[in-house]
Amino acid sequence: MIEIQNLHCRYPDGTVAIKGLSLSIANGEFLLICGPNGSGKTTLIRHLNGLFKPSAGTVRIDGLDVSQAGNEVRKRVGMVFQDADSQILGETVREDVSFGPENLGFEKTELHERVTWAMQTLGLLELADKPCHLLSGGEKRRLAIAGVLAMQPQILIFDEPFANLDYSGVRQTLQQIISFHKKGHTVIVTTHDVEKVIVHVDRIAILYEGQLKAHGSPELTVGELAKYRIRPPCYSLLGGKPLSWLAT
Amino acid sequence: MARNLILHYSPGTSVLHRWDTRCKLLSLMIVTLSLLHMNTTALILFSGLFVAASMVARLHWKSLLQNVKPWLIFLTVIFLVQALLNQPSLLLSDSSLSLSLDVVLVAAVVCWRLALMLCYAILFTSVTKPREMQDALTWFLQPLPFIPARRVAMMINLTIRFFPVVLDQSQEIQKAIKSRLGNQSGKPLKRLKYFILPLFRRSFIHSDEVALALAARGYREDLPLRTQKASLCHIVALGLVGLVALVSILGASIRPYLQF
Repeated sequence: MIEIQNLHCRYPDGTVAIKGLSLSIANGEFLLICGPNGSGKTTLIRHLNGLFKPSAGTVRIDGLDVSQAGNEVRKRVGMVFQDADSQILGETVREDVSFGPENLGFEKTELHERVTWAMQTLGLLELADKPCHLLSGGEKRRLAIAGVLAMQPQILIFDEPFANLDYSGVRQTLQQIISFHKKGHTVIVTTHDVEKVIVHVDRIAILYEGQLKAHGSPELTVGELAKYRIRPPCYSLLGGKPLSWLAT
Repeated sequence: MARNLILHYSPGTSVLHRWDTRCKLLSLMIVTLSLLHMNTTALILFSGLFVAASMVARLHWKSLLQNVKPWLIFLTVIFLVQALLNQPSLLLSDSSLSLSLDVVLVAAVVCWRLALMLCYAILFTSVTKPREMQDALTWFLQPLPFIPARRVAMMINLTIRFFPVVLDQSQEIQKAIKSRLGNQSGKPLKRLKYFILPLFRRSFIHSDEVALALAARGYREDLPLRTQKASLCHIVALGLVGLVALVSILGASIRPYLQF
């Protein structure tokens, strides 16, 4: 359970990125946080695993205060960054996927099992010894997800997971995100491009100028999107039925 | 993310922002060089001047000082090396290993000087547009023969502009390490490897991209300079900085002769 209460975030240059945001996210929920560029999406999710400390307010994960129990929280909350390159730390695929589990202190056998499982889940086993900088954009994204998945966190956060991906890359990533949700993970996705994921989420939270403007089921909130400079999905513009990106 | 403000240009309309860049650059050089020869009284004066200048420039200097924190490690290492390795007991192979307070004080003054140099450099980059700095550098280098002034100015400018980018990247990598609990690892060499290698890789890729972007956007070296003639008040301000620096240095060098 994630509980955000009256969260404020002010950057050193005086920019107020989050203004009194309160939100609860239940275990196993699939939440879409959407908003235009600069609305505070990335800032908000970076508070959820303690990378940023709140200027005011609190964030609790399963009752743990994020600003006080950062490491314990990061075991539960895995985050896939918007720019996969900034998340890749190892020289080879296997080395990068091992980074997180090694830090969790697993024995060699369990470490190997976890890393192999994560690479297999993301279809990276054949690329295990390939240097990371030679991977394609889609492969890098899958590697970033594998690196987080290998730590087996309960909560998975994806920051703009579809950015810079081609059609097949979007479908692969979306399939993986949906499968994590089906397995019981709490999944949070941030994006300004709601089209690709809206059909699959339980709830939408609309962020605008650092404030939570609306939240609720996709059916209830889809009409609000355009008001906050977010392009509504085609089905709502054309008056058709919701259509998944996975549909062929 | 706007979290790291150090060595970034901070837009404003203060007197320091409007001061002619060539005069600002010369002032920075004068202050930096004179700091090397100042005594503690002059260092106090120039510390006060820095605080005053930061307030005039309306910089978020508390935030800037927070960003300077990583440099404290660097300064601490210099302090320890200066304070411990220059001890007379160590130099004379004395087994007593008593600490000389004078040497510790000298080490503290060295670090103070370096910290002030860094502060003035931060102030300069905060109130100077990168493009103006490039023009000023070109203006200084143009009269020198056999030197491609614009190219050198561009290289210096890119280096200075690249510095905060590298700092931003290093913070992003640190966040990636932290989010996968790399900060818990008890092996400092391993932590260093996971920090240094991605930072270098990203920096090289970024510099490649900058070079390509320059070429793609038709970079030329034969464009005319956009610098205007510096007005008298700008030059007087430069003269004042030079005078204060000179008096401070002379005060430090004359003082021993005045003590009987």
